Amino acid sequence: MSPSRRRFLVGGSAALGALALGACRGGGADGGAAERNDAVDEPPRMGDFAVVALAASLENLVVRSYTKALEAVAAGDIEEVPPAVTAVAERTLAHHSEHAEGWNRLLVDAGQQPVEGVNKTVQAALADPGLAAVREGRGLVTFFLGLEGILAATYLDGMVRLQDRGAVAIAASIRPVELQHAAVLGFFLGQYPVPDAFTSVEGARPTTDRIG
Amino acid sequence: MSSEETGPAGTAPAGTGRDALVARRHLLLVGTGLVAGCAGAAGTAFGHAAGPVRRLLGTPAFADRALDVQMLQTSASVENLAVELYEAALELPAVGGERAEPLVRDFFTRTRDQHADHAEACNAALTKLGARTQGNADAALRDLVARARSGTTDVTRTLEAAIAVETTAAATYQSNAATLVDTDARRVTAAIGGVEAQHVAALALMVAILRDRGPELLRLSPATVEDLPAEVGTAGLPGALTTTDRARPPAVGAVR
Repeated sequence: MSPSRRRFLVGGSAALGALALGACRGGGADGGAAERNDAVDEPPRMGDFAVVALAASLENLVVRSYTKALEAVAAGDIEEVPPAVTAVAERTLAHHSEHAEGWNRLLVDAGQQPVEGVNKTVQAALADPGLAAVREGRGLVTFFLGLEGILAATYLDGMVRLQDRGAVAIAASIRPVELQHAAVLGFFLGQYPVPDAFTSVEGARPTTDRIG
Repeated sequence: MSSEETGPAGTAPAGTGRDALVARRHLLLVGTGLVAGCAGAAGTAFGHAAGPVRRLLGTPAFADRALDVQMLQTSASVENLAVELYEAALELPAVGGERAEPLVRDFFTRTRDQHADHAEACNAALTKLGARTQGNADAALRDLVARARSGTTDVTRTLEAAIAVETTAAATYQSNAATLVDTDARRVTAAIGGVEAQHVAALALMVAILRDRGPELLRLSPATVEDLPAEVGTAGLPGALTTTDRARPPAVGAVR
């Protein structure tokens, strides 16, 4: 067994994913995002719908994060961002928008409400503070890489949980793209783009995350 | 190790084409309505991935297991072919020689090893199912190995042959992930398939860099991205969704 098989990591995102997990578990460490608020949170869903809603909420959050990041770059608030990074961010934003739309189309076709909110648990613990701390291009790429890692891990977990084969097929068509995002972003950081033979569920978000 | 042989190269046994086999597999999740959603998505970009959803009534457990076994054996055969391709490529001076670009040599070496790990994982899943392992390569893909060897004067030909086998592998895993019944087999398949897609992205990026700027930018350094043109940076990200167009049929790698 080769060493690469012994530890399953998704690019450079494992640490960031673990940070998100740790921050999201504590009652007060995540800014109060752990407590459900029925007044603002979307109602919880069951079974496969919960898995799909989780995916949609994460895609919505990533769309929001990439959008705000690109706005910050355009405003000069994040400096030294190479053209290749901006171009990849714009392309990736478009991909995630399509992913979110696809999941919501599935929900609507099944008679469910679409997910209009974002994953508030990850937003509070990672996305908002993470982006606020970014000052330059390398930090921005690291931030993006962390988000892609959470998505990829969550999709892998979802592909095993989902009962409906159509939903699994959709997840199977999206997840590789998130991993491709991670590979390119890792290369931009000077990292080997495909460091591990297997990807893992480390950093996957649970369906109990708040959406709103 | 017991004797092994693949099915007829490039073909599936009669009555076991992908549509017939997959039709036996699609489950209707009673009460969730999610199936209706998938049917509704059929006309969208996601309909291609979702496919038709049919009710599965009274499918014997052994039939499910048989299909799972075929898919894992086929996956292993593709992995074995990938190892062959990368080993053939490493014999080229421009890929594995002393004067090869370090990143190219490193990538082909590590990726060959990763594919060997993947084959081992597929065969471990087969053993767990009580099935025969697959030690042979998918013979129908051997033309890609020849193409890889043709990169003597233009290493991008070798990289593109690698892209082709990676795309095939990724598509096969993607297709199988939605069809496998055994949870462990699905988990292994999903864990591997994404890595093949990453191989595609990395290779596409390397080809774009070589064609646009030459080998001087083919290096692992945080400074590389500063010199990359925007369009080259996106070369590894062609689409929002991956497809199963090049997936190998479930039975082509079946051990008989």
